[in-house]
Amino acid sequence: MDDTGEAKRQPPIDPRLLEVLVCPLTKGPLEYDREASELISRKAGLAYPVRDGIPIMLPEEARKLED
Amino acid sequence: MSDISHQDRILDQFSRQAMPFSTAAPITDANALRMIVEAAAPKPSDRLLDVACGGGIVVSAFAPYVEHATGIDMTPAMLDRARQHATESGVANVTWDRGDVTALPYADDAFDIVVTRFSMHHFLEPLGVMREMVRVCAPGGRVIVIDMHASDDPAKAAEWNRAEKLRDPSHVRCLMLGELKALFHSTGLPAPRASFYELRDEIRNLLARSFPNPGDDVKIIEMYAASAEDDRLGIPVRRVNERIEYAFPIAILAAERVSST
Repeated sequence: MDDTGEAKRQPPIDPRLLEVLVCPLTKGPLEYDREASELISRKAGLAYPVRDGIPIMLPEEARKLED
Repeated sequence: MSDISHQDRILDQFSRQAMPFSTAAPITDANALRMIVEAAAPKPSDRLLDVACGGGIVVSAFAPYVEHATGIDMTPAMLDRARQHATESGVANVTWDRGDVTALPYADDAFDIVVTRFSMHHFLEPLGVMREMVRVCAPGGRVIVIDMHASDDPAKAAEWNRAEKLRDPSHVRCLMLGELKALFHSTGLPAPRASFYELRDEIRNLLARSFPNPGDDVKIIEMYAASAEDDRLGIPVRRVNERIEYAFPIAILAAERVSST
């Protein structure tokens, strides 16, 4: 199966999904960074990756925001 | 937070089970899925969430009847399988998230139907998951729990759970019917409507799609063979020549989240 080709043809994330997603830790809003393919929780200081169109909403898989 | 070793057991078992479980005939049984859809009484405007969606069979079964269906699961292999199953089913109004169901990444009241099937027996804290399901269900929405239920006899329930834990080391505990119903009461939902069916098969077929530790399959067969004589597992089991046929009792419990005013 050609996963990379499939991912390119798909939008990075379904807008309907984005509407209801919150940070699992703070239940606060998320900002979508399309370039980096990340969902950012400012309150938790975490960036959740979106891989192949699937948000990975696990704090242990998230990138810690620096600043 | 979840127990890491339990999470590892879940990931290990479900990565291996992703294909055999999502294609096994007793699991996809069309009549059972129809009963589940009927219990939820879906409306075309509904948004649905399937908690611990596994191979996405329930999500794809509901998709034609709702505006949108989302599945969340912890295991990447299951989500891959779920996406593939949706494509094969020709449904496009579905999305997937990877996450921990004890801390759902959704806003309060985000869905009109929140369902979970064959999952409660894998959770260390079923009530915590139920609380999250109720939180993300809008007032007027429906919460549906489908799971196997153990005998009301505690000794038989414990013995069946022992057999299930041998068969699937990520198994925690099948609840009794009263305990499944109590999840609704404890989270402020009205008493659920209940419907029932059975998952029937032959024990070796079940073992063929399971991943017990080496040698435990023999113990499991012995337990089922003995139960055909003395009902030690508290579920229907019978011997037909060399075959050991069993029936897992399944409950579909559904309740409406009453509007809070």
